[in-house]
Amino acid sequence: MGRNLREKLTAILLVTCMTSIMLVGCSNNDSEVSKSAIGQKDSTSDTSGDSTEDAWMLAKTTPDAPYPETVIYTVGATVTSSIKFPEGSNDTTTDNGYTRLYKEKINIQNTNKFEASDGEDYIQKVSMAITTGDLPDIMRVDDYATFKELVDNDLIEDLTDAYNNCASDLMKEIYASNNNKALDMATVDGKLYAIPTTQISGGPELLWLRGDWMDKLGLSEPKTLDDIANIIQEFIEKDPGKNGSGKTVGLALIPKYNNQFLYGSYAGGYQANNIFTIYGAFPKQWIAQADGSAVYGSVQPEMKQGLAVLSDWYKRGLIDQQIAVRTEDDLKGLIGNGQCGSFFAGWWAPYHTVSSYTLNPDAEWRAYAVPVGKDGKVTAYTNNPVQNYFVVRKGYEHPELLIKGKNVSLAYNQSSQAFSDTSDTVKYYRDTVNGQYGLDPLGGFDYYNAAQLSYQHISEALEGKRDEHDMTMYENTLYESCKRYQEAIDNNQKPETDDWLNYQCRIAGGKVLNDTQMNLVDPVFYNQTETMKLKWATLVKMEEETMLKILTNQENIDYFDKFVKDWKAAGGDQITQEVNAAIAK
Amino acid sequence: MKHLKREMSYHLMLLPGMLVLVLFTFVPLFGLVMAFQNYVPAKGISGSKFVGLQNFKFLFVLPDSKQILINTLIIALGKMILAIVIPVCFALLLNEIRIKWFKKTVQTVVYLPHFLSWVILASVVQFIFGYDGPVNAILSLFGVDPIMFMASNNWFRPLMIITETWKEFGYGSIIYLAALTSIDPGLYEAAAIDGAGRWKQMFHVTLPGILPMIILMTTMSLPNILNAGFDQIYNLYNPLVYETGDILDTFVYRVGMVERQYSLATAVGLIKSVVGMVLILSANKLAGKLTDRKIF
Repeated sequence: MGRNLREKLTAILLVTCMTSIMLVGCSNNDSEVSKSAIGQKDSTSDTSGDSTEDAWMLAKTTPDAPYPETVIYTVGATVTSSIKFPEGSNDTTTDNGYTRLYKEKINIQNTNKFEASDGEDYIQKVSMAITTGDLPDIMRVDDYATFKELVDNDLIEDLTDAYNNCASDLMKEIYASNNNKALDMATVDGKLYAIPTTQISGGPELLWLRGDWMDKLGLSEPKTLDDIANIIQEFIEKDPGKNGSGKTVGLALIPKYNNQFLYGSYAGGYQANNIFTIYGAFPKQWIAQADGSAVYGSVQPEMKQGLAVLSDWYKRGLIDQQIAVRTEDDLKGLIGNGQCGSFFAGWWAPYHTVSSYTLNPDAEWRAYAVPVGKDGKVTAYTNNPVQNYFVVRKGYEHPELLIKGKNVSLAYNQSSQAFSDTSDTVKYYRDTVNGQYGLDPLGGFDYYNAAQLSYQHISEALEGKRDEHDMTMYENTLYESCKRYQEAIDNNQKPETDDWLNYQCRIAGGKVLNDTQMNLVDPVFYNQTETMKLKWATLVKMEEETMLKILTNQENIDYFDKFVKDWKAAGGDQITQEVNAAIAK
Repeated sequence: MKHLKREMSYHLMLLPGMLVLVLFTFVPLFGLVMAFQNYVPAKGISGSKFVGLQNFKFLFVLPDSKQILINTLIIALGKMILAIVIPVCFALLLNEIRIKWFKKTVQTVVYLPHFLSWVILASVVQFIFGYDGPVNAILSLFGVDPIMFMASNNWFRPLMIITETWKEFGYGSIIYLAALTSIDPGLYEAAAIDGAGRWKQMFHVTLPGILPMIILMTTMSLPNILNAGFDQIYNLYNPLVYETGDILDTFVYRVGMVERQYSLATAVGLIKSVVGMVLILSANKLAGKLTDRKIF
């Protein structure tokens, strides 16, 4: 009997343990939340005395006055898998080079409400936070729809006053570099609801050609579509890369791959945009017409001209014949092993051509902003001025903290302050944090023309016209690398791959970008309308299927007209109306 | 009931497991409500508006919903049929092999692909059937012009079915091989005495012996009638073969990319489950009528 009882008791005990573990597992989060809430109160509880009150007031209303006591704020942290803490340090996600700088400069400290890896995971966590109504004090929102949802449901703070009081001149200057378009997009009914992260202009896609092949064949630089076709034809027929007859691939274009398509990216890779924009077609963009109404670029008659060129090129073998089944990695491979010598991509294209350099030191790539129209300029459309939105939870008592924090980030990343400030924290920031993205709880943003600026600063420094510390930390790192490249060339050595890469991107690509005269067209709408939610995927499918079929000569060019009719009937017209209504608002 | 007191401790031990089951299987079922709502994450299930059958209607009024359903059904059916026929044939053939090490080696080798993900296999398939891949190289020996298999609407569906079968038949045959070993050898001896040759033995002893297993596996595979294999197709298709290769899952995935459409995805999931359940119940009934072998 006694033994029996003991067994029973043990069983009951076990069961209770297991059950309670489960229940505790479910409720664990709450305790953490309340802890951070207490932390906040602590920092603001004893604000007695006039001088501290003045200090609080000063902190609340000026760009860089520090808070008298440490203010704790919660964020949704993005943690990338590539983070490497500096060797020998005790850094954590809430105590590292980034956070110590914020603390030293304005006395703020973050705790993480949630941690997520960037991308889908982060978006999910944000949705979850919105669903439960339990938002971190400061949060990054990746798309306009979610931002608007937060505004409409009155879940985030109006930052208008905070911005007017606390935005630094540098911040204003950076926003002004793109005519304050980013701020406009974060403004609803005249009130600023977010500090938007600006988009850097990538410029148009450039045509990257194998320069060593051009020299071998005595080809001059291209200007028009015919020039381009001629060069590609020579590449294929004369086989300067010694690939064997029929092995050299023509212009590399991406078919559907993940979210990319043949066209529609912004300074993307393997795009055909330039062949459309020269005819005044702006694929996948909402473009204003002369009368002010917006239309969808892919269904305009101008598209047909670009398509005619592409399908003709495909017929002549000037476009990669296997385009339909290529992935980005395939194309990178073709370029790397020297089978392909022509593709359109942004100024960063050397990241895709670098393996051709490691495999064959003679491989040389040249960038051209072509084809140019009658005015001698290449035409391009611009990207959404906003990358993402930083918002402040409704009811948070220090909404200006976001702006003050961003001031700090901008000062040390977008000006030469990182070199003029001699504090230990800054030194650590410069030496170890520099270039390590991912753990900044607030983060900054960059000038619209950052790529051009970095080219100007670095090339001036290389020519000795600019002090090497009269630039941002990141530019300085690139400068050092470009200098090593030049020294290696001067000494007849093979430059390191990284130095080659930086030099090709920043100086070779950057120069073309900086010197190019271009016609820029701003799309007027980047968001989603109600009907798009349900019908857009069908329309996109229709569009992409049609374009590839025409390009690969499976359908005649006039099939485009049928597509336009079907597109309009299947919801395109309705969406166009909604877009126009949204713009008019 | 009268043993309740005596069995109390056992019931208590069951409790954690039951709790897990209820918590993770039955409670989430309430999420199905989303299929009938215009679900907005910020508002939650309680705050979102009910829209009746709108999400279901949407699936059927799309201009290409017919095409998507046909693609899904053809590819899924093809895969299901081959997933029964090929493993059974393979198991029967392998069973006739008398060299032990050879049998074991073949068995191991053929089920290896099962453990590789389609993300990896897709590039293998793309290479084999590529424009300048081995298949086209062989065809060119016979004077056939190279075929762009992965961009051809004639070839895409058959290739999806064949490659999926190639990946899975080895693994699928394990269960039949196991069933084969459980057949009483006495039956074969008796059949041999009665003058049955190898063929007759196969049809009158072996096949009936593994018939329950075949029925079980067929019934179990029926709910997959609307699952044509997202992993495989997503990694292999391109806009040129949307016409024959775009299936329910890939389509919903693309819709979901545009806007996080929880409601629509839930509606699709619900349709698939309901169709699957109806099929499984009727197949079970049919099997009971025709062969007197019901699963449950």
